[in-house]
Parts: sequence; structure tokens; C-alpha cells
Amino acid sequence: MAAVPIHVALSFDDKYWAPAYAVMRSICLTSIRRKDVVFHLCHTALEPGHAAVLNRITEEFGAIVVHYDPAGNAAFRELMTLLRTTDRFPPIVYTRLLLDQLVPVEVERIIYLDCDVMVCQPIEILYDTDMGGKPIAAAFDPFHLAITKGRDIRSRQTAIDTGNRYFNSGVLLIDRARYAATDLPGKIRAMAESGMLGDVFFDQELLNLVFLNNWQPLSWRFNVLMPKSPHESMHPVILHYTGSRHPWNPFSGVAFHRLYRHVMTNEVYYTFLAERTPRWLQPIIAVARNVTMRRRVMK
Amino acid sequence: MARPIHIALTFDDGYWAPAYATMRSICLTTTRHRDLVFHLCHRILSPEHKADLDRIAEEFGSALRYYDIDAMPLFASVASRAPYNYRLSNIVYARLLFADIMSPEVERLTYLDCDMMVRAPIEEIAEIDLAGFPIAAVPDPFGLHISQGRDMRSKRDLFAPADNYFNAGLIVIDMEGWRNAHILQRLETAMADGMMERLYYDQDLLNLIFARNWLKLDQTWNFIDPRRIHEPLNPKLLHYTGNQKPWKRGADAAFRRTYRHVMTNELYNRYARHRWARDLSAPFREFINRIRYR
Repeated sequence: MAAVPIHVALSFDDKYWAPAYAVMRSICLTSIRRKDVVFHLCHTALEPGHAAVLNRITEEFGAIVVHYDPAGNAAFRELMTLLRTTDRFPPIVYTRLLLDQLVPVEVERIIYLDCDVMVCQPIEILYDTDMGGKPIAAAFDPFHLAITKGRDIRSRQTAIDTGNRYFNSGVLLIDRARYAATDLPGKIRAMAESGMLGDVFFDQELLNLVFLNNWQPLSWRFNVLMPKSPHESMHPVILHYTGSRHPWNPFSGVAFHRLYRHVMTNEVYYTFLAERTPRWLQPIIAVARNVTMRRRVMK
Repeated sequence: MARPIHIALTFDDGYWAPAYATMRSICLTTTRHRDLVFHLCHRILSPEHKADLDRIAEEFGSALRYYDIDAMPLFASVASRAPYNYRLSNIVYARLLFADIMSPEVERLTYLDCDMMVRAPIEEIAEIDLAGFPIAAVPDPFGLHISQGRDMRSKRDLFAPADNYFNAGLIVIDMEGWRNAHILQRLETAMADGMMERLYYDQDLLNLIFARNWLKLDQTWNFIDPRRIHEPLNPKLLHYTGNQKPWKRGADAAFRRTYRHVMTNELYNRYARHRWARDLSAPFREFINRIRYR
């Protein structure tokens, strides 16, 4: 009997190829069911060298990697004419809204993860969670008041009441059939026509509006936002490096920043760092890389 | 007589005060302090420091048994050949000798590191149903990195990355299962074939020996690196790994003030003076040793 696959979707552009690799590798390292994992990678044009690194996951762990270009999907292109994007929130962040249309029909349940996460415990703990008949399961966003209502918790006039529970959309467990039945594109079109989309906080607020009181809460351990060193002892399942500090930057001070470098692998970490560093600083990166590679491990 | 609760600690003379605090925290948080039997495996221990430890018997009626492991040729042999732990000294290997040094009457033993403070009745875990497993312990939140090494690859041939890896600071031991594991033989083999050089001291070795054969305890029974921010979580057993030690003034350690009172203020201050004197004289002692052993 064939094993039950664990479907995981990531969406990213070429700027996030290395963090995506770290997410995938963290999942494979911490799950004994790594060969059952199917990664659905939704991305825009990816440099061939970067795509080759991502495909190494199959070689190292036996997981399946499938690539998708959402730009080839007509519904996605249509949505992009309605939705607001910025440098920080490029079109690719909206891919999660159309996952049910992108992945193959046999996928019944799928996990969506942002690429600034690291999985610390077996992903099947999340995958096998009882969704209570809801289309999605997600973790509460502790910063929801400021996100939804802005300065003095009154400057933004969104349709979300502060008394409603509000989730972070970086970690989602999706029931494909119920998600599709929600008709997200239709609801977004209706919001656009009524003028509601202007001030919406990107995909997260759209999802919170559409799934208002219709989502299954997950434990905080499944989406630990802005994790710092005290979180390390608290046995998190998924760390979500939101905020300005990211583990792929040196001296970030975030939780498990050293572990993250080894999960990403030193080779990918320093290649990614060099790509983002001005040419005049490259010699410093090269020295740091050499020192790190020669250092003894753990003792 | 009620059933005894056997507790083991291993420490050298520089850790006598934290060992005292660990023992006193156990006694303070159980009503069964008269059932406690402390097995103290120590290296050279000054009479003054031993007198401090003896006060536990006076105050709580617990039994103390001392084991001078430096006087044991077996320990000297192991400690001289195993990789040296520069942070904790080779006292870390003392727990591997339990099968040889504990009397047969000890059927169940709870081992604790000396950088711990217990905040709940120890019998909750000391007498836990082990469900047929030889040991019980708590998963180490840093286990993935410790067990996998560089790029999560360098020790893949030794440890499966998705396996749980326990922290060896707290181990509830079924002595029969522990004896049947033939730990010293495994250590000898690991030293002979060079594997020990790749391991994170005794903790890695124990994780190899008991791989997938240990009972997982809740994290509250070995809360690693507890900071003040963790206090509302009310952990039952604090394990002060890392640099934030509760005996250091100003450390960001959970329940730091409680710890001082558990150690008692007199000993806390005396231990601080002891460390200052030791740290001040360290360069001089190092210099003398270099000349002497050049």
C-alpha cells in the first residue's frame, strides 16, 4: 500500500530561493516521513542554479519537488489586476489564495508555509491535525490589533471587528474541497466592486475577511512569530521569522539562528549572503565563510 | 519504612554549592524528604564543603551516600581516555558508572545535573511508570543540532535526524535496564574505534545506546535555559544550561531570587567569594602548571 503523501506548498520569488530551501530541508530533517513529502513550489522565474539547489532535496531526502509558475494561471493573472502589491508584498504572496486551482486534483489537504519559517518538529503533527470541518486551520496572530486597526488602534478602517479572532496567514492547513467551495476569487471580485479592497492588508486580511469565524485555531507552537532565544526552550513546532530580523542575516539574534545556518547549509547560506552583499564587502564574506567552514562542530 | 527515592548527583568540588541547592530544592518541594537517598558521586571534596552537604541530612532527615569517584580506578581509567569536556570537566562521565557503583538494592534511580532547581515533588517523575523503557528523559530542544552537526549532515550516519534526542541532565533510570545496556562496554568500543571523538560527550553516547528506547517526559521536567520570561509557565524543573546561571548576580535566570534563598544566602555569598578567588588565581595556577608540566 502506497504511503499517504504530505503536501506542502511554498510560494516565493527568486529573492527567496535560499530561505525556501531551508524550509524544505527543515521539514525533511525533522520528519521520518520525508519520502512522503511532496513540495509544491509556486514561484516566478527562478535562476536555473537556484532551481537546481531546490531540486537537491529529492536527491538528499527522497521527497518530491514540483514546480509551478502561477503567472501561467488565468485566474491568478485576473486577481492581480485587482489586488495591491508592494516590494515587500509582491504578487507571488497571493498564490496561496488560489492553491486549490494550482495543485493537482488528487491533493485533498495541503499545508501552506511562508518561506521565512523553520520547521522544528515533524510536519505530520500539523498535517494530521483535526480541522473540525473547517476549510483552513491557522494560528492566532498576537499582533492583530495593530495590524487591523493601526495607530491608536483606530487609524485603519477595516471591516474586521477587533473582537474577532484573527489568524496569521504564514502557516495554513488547507482542506482543499472546502477551500475551493469558498470561492475566494469570486469573493475578492465582490470586495473589489464594493470598494473594500483599497485598504486591505494583503493576503492575510483578505483571508481573515473571507474565513471570518470559519477557521480552526492551531496551537501557538505551530506559528511562533518573531522568535527570540527564550522561545528555543519552549519546544516550538514552526518558527516564523517575521519582523526585521531574519536568520539568513548575520548577527540576527533570532531563535536558533545558528541551527538555521546549518539547516540551510553553510554553502547555500554564504552564497545567498554574497548575492545580497555589495561587491566591496565580498572579501569579508569570503573570510567569514572560510572561518566557518574550518571551525570544529559543536564541542 | 516507606519506599526510598534514590537520587544521584555527580559533581566536583567547584560545584558543591549548586549541588547543595539542587538537593535542597528537592527536599523543599516534597513531603517525602525523609525517603530521599542522595547518592553523591564527587571528586575531591574539601571537609568544609562536605559539611555543607551534610546539613541536608540534619535539616530534612534525608540520607546521604558519598562516592569518591577519584578513588575508583575504573573512573580514572575512563576519565583519562575519554574526550575531555573543557566546560564541565570529565565528571560528566561519572554517570556512566552507575551500574558499577550503585548497590543492588537501588532499583530505580533519578539522576540530576547540579545546575538544576526542582520546583515540584520529585516523586512525580522518580516513581513514574516507565512502561517497560529502561530510562525516561526530556527531548532536548537543541537536539537536532547536537545530533546532526555541520550542515545537518556530519553525524547523519550516527543519528537519524527525525529521532527524538534527549537531554541527559535529567534521567529516570530503571537500574536493571541500565545494567543490561552495558554502557561501559559501549563506551570502550566507541573509544577504541574513534567514534567517541565525533560524539558530544556522554550525552551523545547515551542517546546512541538508548535510541528510540526511552520514555519521553514532558518538557516541564527539564526546562532548558530558563529565563525570567519563562516564570509564568511555572516549570517543574529548571535546568540552567548556558551562561545564565542563577548563582551569578544579575543573570537572566528564571527564579533567580528563589534560587538564592534555596541555596541559602550565607552559602550563596560564600560561593560567590569562592568563585572570585578561584577566577583570580586561575591565571597564576595555569602558569605554575605550565612550568611544572613543561
